[in-house]
Amino acid sequence: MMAQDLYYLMLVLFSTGVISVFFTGNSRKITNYFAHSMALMGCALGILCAIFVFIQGKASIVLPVVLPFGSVTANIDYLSAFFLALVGMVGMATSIYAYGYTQEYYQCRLPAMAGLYNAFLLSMVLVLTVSHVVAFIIAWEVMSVVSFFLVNHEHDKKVNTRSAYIYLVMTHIGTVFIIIAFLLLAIGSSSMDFSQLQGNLVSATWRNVIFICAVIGFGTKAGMVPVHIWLPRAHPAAPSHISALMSAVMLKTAIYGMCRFFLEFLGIGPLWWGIVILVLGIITAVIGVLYAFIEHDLKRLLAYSSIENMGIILLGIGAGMVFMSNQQLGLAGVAFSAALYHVFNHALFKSLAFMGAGAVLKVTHTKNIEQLGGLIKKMPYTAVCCLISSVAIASLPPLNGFISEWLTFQSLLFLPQALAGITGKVFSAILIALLGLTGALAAACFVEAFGITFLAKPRSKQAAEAVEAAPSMLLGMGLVAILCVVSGVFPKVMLTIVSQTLMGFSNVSVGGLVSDDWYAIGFTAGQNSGDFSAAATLLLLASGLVLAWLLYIAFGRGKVAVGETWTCGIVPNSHMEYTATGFSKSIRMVFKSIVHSHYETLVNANDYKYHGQKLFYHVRIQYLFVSRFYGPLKNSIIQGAGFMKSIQTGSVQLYVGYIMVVTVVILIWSIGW
Amino acid sequence: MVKGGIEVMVSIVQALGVAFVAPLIAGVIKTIKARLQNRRGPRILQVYFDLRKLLTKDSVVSPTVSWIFNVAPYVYFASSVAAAGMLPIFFFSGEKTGDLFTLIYVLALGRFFLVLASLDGGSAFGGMGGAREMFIAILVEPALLLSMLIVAFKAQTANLGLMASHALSSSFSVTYIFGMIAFFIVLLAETGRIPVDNPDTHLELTMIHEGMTLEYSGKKLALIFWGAAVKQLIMMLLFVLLFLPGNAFGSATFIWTIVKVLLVAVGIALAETSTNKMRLFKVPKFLAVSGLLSLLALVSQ
Amino acid sequence: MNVVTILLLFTALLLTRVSGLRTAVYIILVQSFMTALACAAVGIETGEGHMYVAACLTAIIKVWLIPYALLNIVDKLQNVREDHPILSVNYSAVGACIAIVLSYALIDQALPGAGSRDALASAITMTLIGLLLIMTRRQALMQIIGLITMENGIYLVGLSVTKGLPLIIELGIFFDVLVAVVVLVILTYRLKLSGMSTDTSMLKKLKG
Repeated sequence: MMAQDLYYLMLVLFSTGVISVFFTGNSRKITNYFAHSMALMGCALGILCAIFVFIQGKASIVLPVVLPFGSVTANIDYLSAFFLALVGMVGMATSIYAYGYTQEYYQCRLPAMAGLYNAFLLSMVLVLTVSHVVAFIIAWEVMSVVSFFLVNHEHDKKVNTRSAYIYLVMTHIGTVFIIIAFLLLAIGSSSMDFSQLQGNLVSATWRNVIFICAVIGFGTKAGMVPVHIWLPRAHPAAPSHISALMSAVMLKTAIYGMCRFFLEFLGIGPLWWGIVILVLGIITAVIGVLYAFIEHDLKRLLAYSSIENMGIILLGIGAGMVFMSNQQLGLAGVAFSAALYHVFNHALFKSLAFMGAGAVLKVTHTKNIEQLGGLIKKMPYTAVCCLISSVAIASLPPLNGFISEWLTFQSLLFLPQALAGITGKVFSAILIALLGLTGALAAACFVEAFGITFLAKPRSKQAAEAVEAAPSMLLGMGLVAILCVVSGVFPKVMLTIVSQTLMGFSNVSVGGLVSDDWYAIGFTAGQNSGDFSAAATLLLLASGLVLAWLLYIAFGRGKVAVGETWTCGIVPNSHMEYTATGFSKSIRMVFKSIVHSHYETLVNANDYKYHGQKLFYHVRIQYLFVSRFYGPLKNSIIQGAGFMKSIQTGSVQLYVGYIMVVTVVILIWSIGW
Repeated sequence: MVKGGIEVMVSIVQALGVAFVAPLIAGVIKTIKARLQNRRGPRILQVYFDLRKLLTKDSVVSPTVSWIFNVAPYVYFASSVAAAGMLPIFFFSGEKTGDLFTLIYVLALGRFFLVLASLDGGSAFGGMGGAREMFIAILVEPALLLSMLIVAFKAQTANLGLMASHALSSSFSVTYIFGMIAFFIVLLAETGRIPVDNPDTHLELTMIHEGMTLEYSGKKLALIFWGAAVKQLIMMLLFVLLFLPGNAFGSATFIWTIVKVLLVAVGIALAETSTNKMRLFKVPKFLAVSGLLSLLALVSQ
Repeated sequence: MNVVTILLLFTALLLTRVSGLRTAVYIILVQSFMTALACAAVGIETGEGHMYVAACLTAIIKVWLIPYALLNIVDKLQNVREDHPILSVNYSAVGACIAIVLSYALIDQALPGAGSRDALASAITMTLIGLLLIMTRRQALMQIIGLITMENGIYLVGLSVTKGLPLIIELGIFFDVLVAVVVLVILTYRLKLSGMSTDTSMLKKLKG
């Protein structure tokens, strides 16, 4: 079948990309273009493969790998195809972007980065498609290790090595839990193939254990609180197109794993499963966006925003599971489609945001937004792309972020039908209110990020000397930006794809999701319904714009005079502008109990004691989970290890003595005295 | 398609109508406030004349700003007008185009661009105004959602038309009193009235909305004023349609709606004159009161 | 067979008492020669050809090559003696006796009434004495000798239990020992060259 050939070809292309860096190592330009072209073609084939699977049905490919637990097949069903298409889309954009971006790395181990980039894409494609437990775990591990090397690429800076180390430790903790979950399932079903794994062959307590292991394991990779601490360190450390790929796609492989577990393997579970995920989701969302708002490192801000969006996806999944356990399949379909739609949206706008941040970083060599400003005049196209991504992340209509937020709100609105009683109502109300809070915080965060980075006057010399980004970077960003706009205005296309993805699962019903009108999306599940018309919103907005323009020209065209910004009479300079720290101060004060900011003001006196002093205002925040949970954990582990250290004296004789004692003891014991 | 098209037309006409009426209500509030303060106050139609004056003036634009500054008033105005089109004023309007969350987020779109424009000027006034505006918006969103959820949970839908008809047909109870007070607090916060923000001041430490728009002049300022007035009328109409049920005149719902809107205007004026602007960091507590009242209302349903 | 066994035990006991390095190397030479003889004897008994090959290999590697290298080292080390072992020579001898008693008791418990009781017991004794040597001696060379003793012991266990292991396994064991001894010899040489003593308890200073 077509899909199978495309799949093989895609794997071959990625592998060629990996191997090619060994042979084109001398000329950096050829390495750059060849490897990234391989990746680009591979991603394009991935999209085509997914399209063919959607049209023709499931595809099954036997991989020529020998593993001791049976043959390895790659079953591309609709869910895999959905995520595969996602990888393809984001991968294509980042590959085009990488042509221009990696020119900065020509002296900095470019062949390694290009080869690992292809390997990263290859491992992610494998994770999303293989259907054999051991093969999945191997592919997952390869993905983690390759991304570790990519995060550690600029290892001359100590902060990067530290971030990569924390990432490695956390992702392996997650992998341990995933392995436990998979093995428990495989033991219960006596098979290593995904199609044979079924949760109802395992007893109830073990199903709960599998659930908890799956949540912790996949949650670590997804950046769920409280195992999220690697995310805000790893994403800024990696090169920007890698950060885009990690944030847009790698986090989604964890969501893919969760969907497989909850929709297919574990089946319908008790109510508390969904509630646990709902609670974790909302905590993740609120904490993520809170810390994002307080950050002033651009990529760290985007990383925390990714955590927030993963929280929203978890909300959708949690609501879906609650509905599933209450046998309300239609509403479960709405909730899961909200989650999957947000997966798609987040991949698009977050990759766009990271690419924009990368462009800014490449041109100004700083990630600190307190040193940027005025870039909209120097980098107009980048600014437009970043504006589109900011508006989309803030989930404002008419862009695509709003659609998935709307679907999530709708699925939470109907939660009291599944959670009976006053507690159910209050719980759902608090969830909706907190989701609204995160939406508003996200909007504020991106107003600050975009406003302080791009608007007003430049705050440092580097920002003043910025130039527009390279054309290939603009092309990559532009493609994704157009996709954002189009999928916001025509949400029906994506919703159809999402509903077809979910059609393969019997525990959710998406029959009520499609509507006939081209301009609206809606759903009917029992007597619950809701619909949203993007076209109507656009038309209303357009009419408002027309009215505004009419008013504008109705009274003659006035003159526009140029006058400096009012700053009480002085000529304004960049020191008068608002800073990011100042912008978020009020929220820092309101959420003091979570954030615990410490302020330091440093006064730098010079010769004149009474005149010309400089004032530095520095904010340090306490990261809640690191200080309350991981810090004490780390200290206790180190103490325990120190305690165990005393058996190692460094003396060869003592070590041999240990061996001798153990040998004699084993001899005596085995003989059975 | 045709049915959908007719509804969209009705919504557009409704939006334009609301936009046209909004300055009148703003004028009414000003006059009532003045009378309560023992002044004569401006005529009720004064706001229209102010807008006309602004529309004929030239404008002064700073060289620091970019195209966002020029675009923002349009977006703000358009978003306010679009949100006005989603209100369920008539019994058939708003059903196909209006949804609770769409309305809130369309208003948020306008605010997003306005705050961006305030940062664009590069002055501390703009930055502070924008920062405080986002601060209050962050706190208002959950409170607004909670109070609207009182009706939404009861009606089990987020469609504004269905919610309004459900509200109309349900009886008056303690729930509604709690909901009224909660939404009234949110109304004061969202429209920037005392005790949250002072719409008449121009001192930088006390202005939030005015601080954001300090750099604007001429036609763009007129658009922003008008947009703010439309937003105010939208909030008042939401209050009336969802939280003041009761239909004394039978089928002449429309006239009764107008009467209720005027009553709300009087209420706002009373609220403004009877208290002073509170400190900025007391606003979270104020809105928390609103949230708690909404939760109480939900519990007592 | 009994004579060889007793002589092997005797050499092992002797090793725990010597403190001169050259003497120790000569004793290990004799011990390896006996092991080769034992292997040849088994070969004569079972009549299999590969046992002769193994005996020859043992003779070449353990009687000639390894003692040759060790004697070279001893010459380079000039006047080093094992003066202060961790366990003094008298107590080492007592420890060796305990090892003999222990191994006889073990063999009686595990395989009561076995024909090759003496051979097995002495083989296990040699292993334990080899471990004891490594454990209680400071000089690197003495530890090499202890390793060779241990290996002889294990080899003899293999011989007496199976009456001839397959050649491949024997080759494997040989190469294993060869490599280990080569590494240790080089190490001792480097230790001497870098001016430090070959006292392995000095390695404790490397601990971080």
